[in-house]
Amino acid sequence: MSGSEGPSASTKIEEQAAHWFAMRDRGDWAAADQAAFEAWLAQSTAHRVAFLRLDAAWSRADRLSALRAHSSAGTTSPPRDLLDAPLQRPFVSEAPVEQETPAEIDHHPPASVAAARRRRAGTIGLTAALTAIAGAVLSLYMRVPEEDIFATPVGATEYVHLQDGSSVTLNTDSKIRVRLAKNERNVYLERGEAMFEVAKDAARPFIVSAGSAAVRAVGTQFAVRQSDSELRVVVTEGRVKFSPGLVPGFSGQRPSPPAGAAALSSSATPIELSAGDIAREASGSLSVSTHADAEAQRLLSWRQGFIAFDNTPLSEAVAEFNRYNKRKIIITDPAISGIRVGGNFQTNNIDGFVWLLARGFPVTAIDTGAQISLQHRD
Amino acid sequence: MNTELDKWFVAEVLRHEAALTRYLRRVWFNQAEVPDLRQEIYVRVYESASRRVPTSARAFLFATARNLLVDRLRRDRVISINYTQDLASLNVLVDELSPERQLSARQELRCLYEALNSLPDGCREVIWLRRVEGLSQREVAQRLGMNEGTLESHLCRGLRALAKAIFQYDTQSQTEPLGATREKPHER
Repeated sequence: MSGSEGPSASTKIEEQAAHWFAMRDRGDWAAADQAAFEAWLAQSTAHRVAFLRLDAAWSRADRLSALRAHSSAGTTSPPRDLLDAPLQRPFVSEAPVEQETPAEIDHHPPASVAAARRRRAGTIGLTAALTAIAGAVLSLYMRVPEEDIFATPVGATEYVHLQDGSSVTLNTDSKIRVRLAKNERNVYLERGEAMFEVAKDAARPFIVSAGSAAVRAVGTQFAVRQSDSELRVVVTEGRVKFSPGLVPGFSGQRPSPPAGAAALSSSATPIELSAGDIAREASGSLSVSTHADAEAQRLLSWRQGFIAFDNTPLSEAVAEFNRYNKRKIIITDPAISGIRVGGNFQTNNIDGFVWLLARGFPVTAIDTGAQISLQHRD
Repeated sequence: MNTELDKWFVAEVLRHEAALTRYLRRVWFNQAEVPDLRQEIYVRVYESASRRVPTSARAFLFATARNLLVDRLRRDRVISINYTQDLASLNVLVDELSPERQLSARQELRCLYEALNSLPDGCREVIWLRRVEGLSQREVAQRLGMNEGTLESHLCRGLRALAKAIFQYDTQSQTEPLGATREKPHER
């Protein structure tokens, strides 16, 4: 577990190697220098390979001389000037990045999302007969924004572009409903977890509701997760206002809003959360950790396809794996539930997890194919 | 310097750096450790080759990489199961990895050129004058009105950037080998 402070070991060695290279290149290299250099090389193979690598790079950089022909000899800084020179175009021009218009993106969602998605418009009878565009125009006139639904199956994550330029990454077994109105953008998290990257639009707050709680943002990044026992908000950029749903002293349990629209109109005093903050609301109580950047990153490692544990009770770790997999792990012996585990796993790597568990702890795994039960081993 | 072994290492091992780096990035969770791991792998390969030069440098390099990762996992697991990786995913056949590509002269020039252009002004000028125009360090210092210390730090930095560009040149269009089943969400 090397910390993130300071350069890594290989970086330090590379710096030393570069220093030796520059010294040798200076032109006043003496026998004593050579001896010192050889001593440094002999000290460790790591020194030697680092130097070999830089030395080889320098030799190969002789290709740069080909650019010399294009510059007037003796100039100090041709490379950047060459960027603009017509001769150099082949070296700089990249294929243009394809830029889809927001409208196109909206009508071509990722395939698996498309299947789970259906459109609804304010006036069902009419729009059913119209094209998508006409429908959009119509609903604009009628001021009833249409609702989009996105969902993922167990084990999948999806990245979704919204029409306003925001994006959503849906975690496993999750479902959201999205309604982009003229003065407000509403997302209702029906289940699971989603990470939002909100496009800035001060005139149109972006509101994510889950149960009776809501998170309001203007332009920021945050994730909301709803499970049976807990609602969690993790902010990674900017600020949001969080209105908890069930905390005593607030307006009490409100009925689930139909499309998240009304969630924030409640009287609850919102709590301001900023980057690195994590809010958890569970069984009527609320806790907020501030400046918990490392923890926030850990909780969001699912975006890279990983689950990360840090001193996590086995029961929680197992529940986490079960979110991502159809094949379930079951703890049959409560005695082992409290074992603390740490580590990073690919979300679908149940076998690796169980294998390591059995190696490192007094645990036996019985794999029946459909499920794996964990028992205490004497 | 420049023994037969050194030449072998440069010609046969370093050319696989892009593929090796890609492999490490894929199987090792902690990306910050990749440069250190790579260096340790180079050390093992070099030391082993000093006893006997392997017939296939590429196969040997990747076998060494895998063994090192497994050692790391075993060592760390003694404390907890922290740091764990997917052991199975380490078993990547060499053939599965995207085939190495010999860069054409033009591609290599372009990648050097881009590396050079990404350097800050002073640093770029030093590399240009020293490497391309062939001026001595002293002449470069005079031309740019720099003291020797500044010049050296520019030279060091530029050299390291060039090495990175040359050895880590990664053809973007490579298809990911087996195991990368999930489309990685776009990151900003």
